[in-house]
Amino acid sequence: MDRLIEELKNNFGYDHFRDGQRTIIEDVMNGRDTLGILPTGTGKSLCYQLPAHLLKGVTVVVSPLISLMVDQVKQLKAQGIKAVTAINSFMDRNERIRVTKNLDRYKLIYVSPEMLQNDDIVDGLKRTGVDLFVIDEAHCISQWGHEFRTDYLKLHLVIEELGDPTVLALSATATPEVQDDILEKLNKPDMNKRIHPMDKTNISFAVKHVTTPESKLIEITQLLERTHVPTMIYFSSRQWAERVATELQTKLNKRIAFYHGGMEQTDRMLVQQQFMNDQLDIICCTSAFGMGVDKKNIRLIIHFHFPPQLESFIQEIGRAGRDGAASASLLLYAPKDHYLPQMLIESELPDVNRLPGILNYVERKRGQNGVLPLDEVIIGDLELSESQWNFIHFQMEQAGMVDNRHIMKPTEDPDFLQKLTMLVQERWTYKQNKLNEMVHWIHETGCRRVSLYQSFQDNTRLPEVPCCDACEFDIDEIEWQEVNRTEIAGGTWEERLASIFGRGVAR
Amino acid sequence: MLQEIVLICIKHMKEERTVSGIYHLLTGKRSSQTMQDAKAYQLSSFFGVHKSLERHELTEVLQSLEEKEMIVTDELYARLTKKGALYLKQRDIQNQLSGFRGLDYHQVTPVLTKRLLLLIQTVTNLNGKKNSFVPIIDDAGVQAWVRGVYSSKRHQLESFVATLYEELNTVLEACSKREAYLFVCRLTGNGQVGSTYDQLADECHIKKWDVHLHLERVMHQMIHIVKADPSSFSALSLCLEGLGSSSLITESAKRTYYYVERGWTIEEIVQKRRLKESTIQDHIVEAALVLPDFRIESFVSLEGQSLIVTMARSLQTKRLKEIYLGLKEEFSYFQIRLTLAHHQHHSREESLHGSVN
Ligand SMILES: Nc1ncnc2c1ncn2[C@@H]1O[C@H](COP(=O)(O)OP(=O)(O)OP(=O)(O)O)[C@@H](O)[C@H]1O
Ligand SMILES: [Mg+2]
Ligand SMILES: [Zn+2]
Repeated sequence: MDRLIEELKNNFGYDHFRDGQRTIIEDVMNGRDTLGILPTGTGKSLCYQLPAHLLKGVTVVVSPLISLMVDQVKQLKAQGIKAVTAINSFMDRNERIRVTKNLDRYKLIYVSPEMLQNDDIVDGLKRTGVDLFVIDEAHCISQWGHEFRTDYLKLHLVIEELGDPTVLALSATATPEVQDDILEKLNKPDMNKRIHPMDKTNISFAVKHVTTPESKLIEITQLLERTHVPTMIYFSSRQWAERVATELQTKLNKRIAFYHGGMEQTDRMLVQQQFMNDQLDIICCTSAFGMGVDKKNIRLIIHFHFPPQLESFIQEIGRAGRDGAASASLLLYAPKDHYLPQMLIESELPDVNRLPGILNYVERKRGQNGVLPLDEVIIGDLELSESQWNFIHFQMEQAGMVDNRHIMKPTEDPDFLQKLTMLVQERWTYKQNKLNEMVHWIHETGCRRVSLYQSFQDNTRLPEVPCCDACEFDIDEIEWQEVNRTEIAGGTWEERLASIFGRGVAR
Repeated sequence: MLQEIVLICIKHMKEERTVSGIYHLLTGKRSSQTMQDAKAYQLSSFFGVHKSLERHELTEVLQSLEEKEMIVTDELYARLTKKGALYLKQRDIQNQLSGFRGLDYHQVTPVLTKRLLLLIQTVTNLNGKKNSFVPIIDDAGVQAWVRGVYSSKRHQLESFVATLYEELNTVLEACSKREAYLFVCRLTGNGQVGSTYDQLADECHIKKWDVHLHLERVMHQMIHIVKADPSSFSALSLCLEGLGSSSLITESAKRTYYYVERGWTIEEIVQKRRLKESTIQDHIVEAALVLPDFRIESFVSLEGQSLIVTMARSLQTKRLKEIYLGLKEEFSYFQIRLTLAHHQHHSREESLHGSVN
């Protein structure tokens, strides 16, 4: 048995590498900067977790999702890999200081991008010596990516500062355009690319055109009366997620809950864990759910609303069939459905007519004390959404007008105004095109699989399951039965308390 | 339950306060006005009993009361009708709503609840040999606390779990059946995940806000029972350790803090305690240093805090004089000290990235 396999077995308990893992790991071990694109749920984490184990120095992983970092740290610790930690802004201060002082005790360190703006942490890493610098969800670095994050843009500076360790950038959904942008933003034009097909060969696709939201509900009810499998239903609004969850509860004899970003933190955790623990059959959620949820046996992804671009869609259906077994995606479309994403785009970008007023506001702050108020205050004063303000703030930073909260230069510059207007329009057009692509896919009459993946890869593999509703798949024919139930002790509070504490009930 | 509480508030406030006053009272707004109101109108037991109540939910309750002709409202004020007054008497509501101790405990319950949920999840799972589970509480402070308790009890885990179980049983027996049931359904452990507020509201056919209130009352009763006889509740006393102002600051500062929490101004405290203004200010800074939840907005506005913190950061200094001059003497030394003291707990440079969903 060769060494890598042996290490894989000893540390992770797996017998084989999955497609693509081995080459990426070998590249990285040989010190080659690598861009790795592997489909969701196929094991990107292993591509750095194993090298982290084998390399002498430290492996740093930048990840935008704090919950994901924390989960992975926990998972690894549960597997007996102790030399791992996560540094993020949720950590309490003392703990952060303690960890920062003792970085050399760890082999694998997860950090949130904003933490890398902290000099103490970067200095600490520099002293310890970083062998491998990993950027997870690397599409966040690209303005053309669907989850662009401004704090990813400064990563190339950190990499330089750390003495140019080997870089591994990982993503599940990156068009060729985004891939190029990643190389450019990282300042690594010669990066070695390992792009693996992202088409999911175990998912069948279907789209149904209906006339009203009510008919969507009927479709869903009929499907779920026949089919009993772990299911996710995606919505683009919180209200709809709640409403449909409630309605389905009255119509179906199933365990259903909703999940969205407006819920209290503990309740969100509870729903997520209930689903993982097979205490729920169906989850009605917004895109806030799912990141980092590694439930293996989700079989059905239904889109009650469609997301604003294909990338998000691909990521969301990627939650299904993580164990490789047959799964399906159903998208329900009603004629007015594109209004909602349209409105979303508008709420994300500032209205160009308001730009002069906004710059004037900043200029007045410059006159007063040269400092920007808290974001909450600005958003309130100017009646902007958070992302509208973030966009403007970022552009001002790029133009050197502000540095974080300090206003460095006059902001009422006509050239800048013109440039800003152009940028807003450019971005708007871009998002609009993305939305059109999505809508176009919904109206596709040819093979949906081919059309879904064609902008991401040259060829689409033959699926192991019926392909799509243009080929041979008929969603009305599926009748799946596969429910694992974790039963919850019912009865009186005394019985329930006893069961949680694992003791016999005293009657 | 919320409906009855709102009725009582309306009755006691006698149109001298707007409905906003009720909202601030129930959500526990830390302003001198609200705290004084709570005392003056004998509503302190309801202070902060539902901190996440939303404005529109209160409006909904008011509307439904109006439809039932128990109150009449205009834009700002609400008044009890005869029917409403009768209703309050007839069902002996005052008794039914006893057991809340909002002003005393509203600050303790959030942390205590989180501690209990995570502690129970941890010890029951580990005791049942389930070693890997995802913590139900994401709060780093609470996680560190549970880790501490676990490492001190790991060698007598079995007996600690038994003690905790017995104590919870005793406390819950003193609660109503429904409230005990709601509390137990929230718990996660031993392979079961607890229920959300919405699920409980559905299951018990009550409003979500009433689930909050019932659970809050269980916590108030628990704290009350445990504090009255700590030696009989060793496990639950442990959960209360370090919560509230009592164990952290000096006696004298504690007295000052007591008044601040009840909305007194510095001048008033100076008069009451016959101490120098600077001493009282020292006490307040001391409280801010040790109590992360101590809100200082009544002394320095949020915007002011932002300016001070930004200045301190950009000058890379904690030297008061430099900050004072840097801000063109806009803020007093006291305000600067207080802000720095408060923000050492909250030194997250970055704003969190929210998402539309
Ligand atoms: N070689 C392997 N053999 C068996 N299971 C594996 C292997 N590699 C990874 N896995 C498992 O596959 C699952 C998904 O892995 P991981 O979370 O790394 O996926 P990912 O590609 O990062 O997904 P996402 O795009 O959602 O971030 C995990 O449960 C992991 O344990
Ligand atoms: Mg991943
Ligand atoms: Zn097809």
